[in-house]
Amino acid sequence: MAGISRRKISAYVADGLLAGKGEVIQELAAYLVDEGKAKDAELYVRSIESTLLSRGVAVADIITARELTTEMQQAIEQLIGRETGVEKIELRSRVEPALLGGFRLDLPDARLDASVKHSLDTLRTSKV
Amino acid sequence: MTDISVTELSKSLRDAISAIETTSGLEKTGVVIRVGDGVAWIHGLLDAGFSDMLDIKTSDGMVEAFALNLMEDEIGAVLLGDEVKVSAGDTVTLKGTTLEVPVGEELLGRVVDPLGRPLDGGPAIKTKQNGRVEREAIGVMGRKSVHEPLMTGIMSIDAMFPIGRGQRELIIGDRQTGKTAIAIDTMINQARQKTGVINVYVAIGQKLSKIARLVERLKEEGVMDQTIIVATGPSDAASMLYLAPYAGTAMGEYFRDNSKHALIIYDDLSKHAVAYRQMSLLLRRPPGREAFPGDVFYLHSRLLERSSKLSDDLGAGSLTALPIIETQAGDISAYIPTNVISITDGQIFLETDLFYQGIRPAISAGLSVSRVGGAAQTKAVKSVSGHLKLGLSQFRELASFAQFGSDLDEATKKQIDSGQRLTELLKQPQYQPMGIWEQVASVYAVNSGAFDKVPVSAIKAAQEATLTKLWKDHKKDMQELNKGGEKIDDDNKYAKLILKIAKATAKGFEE
Repeated sequence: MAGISRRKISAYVADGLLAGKGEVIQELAAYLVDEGKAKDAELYVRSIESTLLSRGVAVADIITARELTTEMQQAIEQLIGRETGVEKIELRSRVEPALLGGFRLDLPDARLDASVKHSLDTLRTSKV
Repeated sequence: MTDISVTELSKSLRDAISAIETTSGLEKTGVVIRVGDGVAWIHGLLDAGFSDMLDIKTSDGMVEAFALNLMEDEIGAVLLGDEVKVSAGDTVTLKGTTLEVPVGEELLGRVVDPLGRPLDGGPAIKTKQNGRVEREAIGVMGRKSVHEPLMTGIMSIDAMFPIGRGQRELIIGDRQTGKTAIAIDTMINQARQKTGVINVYVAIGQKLSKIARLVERLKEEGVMDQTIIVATGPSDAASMLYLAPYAGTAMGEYFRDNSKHALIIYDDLSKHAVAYRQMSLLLRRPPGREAFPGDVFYLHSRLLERSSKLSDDLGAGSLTALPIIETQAGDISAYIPTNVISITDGQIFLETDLFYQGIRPAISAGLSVSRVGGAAQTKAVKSVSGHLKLGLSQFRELASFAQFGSDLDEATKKQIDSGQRLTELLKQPQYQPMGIWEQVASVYAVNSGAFDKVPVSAIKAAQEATLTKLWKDHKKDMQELNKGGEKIDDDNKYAKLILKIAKATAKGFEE
């Protein structure tokens, strides 16, 4: 498998996962260890999530300053559906008080930062 | 501040925040995987294009970069800011533009870096326009043949290898042979002759002390007001050296596109190629000849193709380029010299031997050429300098033979004698560019035989005295001659005048 691009491997794993073959994860782990690429595992995860998005499955991280209510979660899922056009959404949420307010949505290869921290950072670094 | 109430301040702040908030949709992001040697490797950002600007969000503010390697799994981007700030895991976003620099008249008289930031301690530069650093050259229909002269003020160039506006003429030679001096004299001449040509001097990895001396000199000569200096030093990142000529060209193109004439000097493209080689090797591009990447020809051809003479429909402006290349031990067949020789419209080759013989500017008559400038040469200069190049190159060949034997026929002796006089005449000190009338009078005086009895060592003095007398007694005629529009033959009134004065002056110098 040496010399195969990350994108091709990610496509293979993503297709396997969508076909319900859980063993592709084991195969990938074995490949990464064998090739001495274990430290790149995070990149492969990003790449696989990116491929899954193109296959209609969005794995998204939602980070908020406070605990997310069910209504807000639904609204965010609708937003993801609207922006990406996918129907199957897997949301991972976590709380980060440093955001001060609002939320940050991390999708594979894309981000929507609607946090107060981001607005303040932009204000600080721009020439107003 | 006292006039603004707290309510207004709060409103202004809210307006400012709402203007900045652009969180209307998803923003494509990538992540820095590795960073080092001024290069960041980025995962993601599949939409990035070649030379697109990227913003890297670090814990210490934004750092800009531009994408140069677009690979299947990652992007290789060259950093424009401090690489120490960037670390693996930083988020990267697309800026949505290619690299741009400020362009306009506001830059005149300023020393800037390749991003248009002032280096001269002056106020911030606010221009109305920006120009793209990477831009396609003007197409065929937008161009016109080179036909207007760009006088360098250096007699041997203007007479033998004339340069036209919109031409690309390479200045090539070993170190310390006077390459930059030719470029500086050309800039000075634009101010002395009031040609209105704007100078853009691009220093690529030049010693900062040299740039400082140059700026001082240009200020002394009153040239700085019509000059922009784009400066990079040896301690600057390779990315800055790589960008400098493109940024300078964007600044020059502004004047070209606004019906003006600009001259751009790239000092020098050898260092530019070396900076690009460094970047390419760090970007893991395969090395080719002399370890340069495969596209090093395109690097310079796309740069120099932007210098052009525009058609009348586009305003008839021009951008003339004088790229400089440093050779090693006179080897013009090395990779970069041959590339740039083939791209440009001619070259001025400077020889170390001539330089140390005291023949300065040390221009080799045999190896130098101007392929398109003939059409742009002023009538006056053209009419007096017809056989100059051939005569001088034949003389230099004969002179080397003559060293070995004394049995020479009369014709050869005459040719050598005339060659020696011409060589002496074409010597010209630095910072003393000559006007058209001075060049015409000098060349005509020697060609017509007025100085035939003057010893070679006194030719310069005789020339000086003739020019002084002509200017003193016939200023109006010389001003008219300086327009250069008239052909000078033996029946011409200026020719008769020059001959008369030259013969009279020469008497005082005869042995």
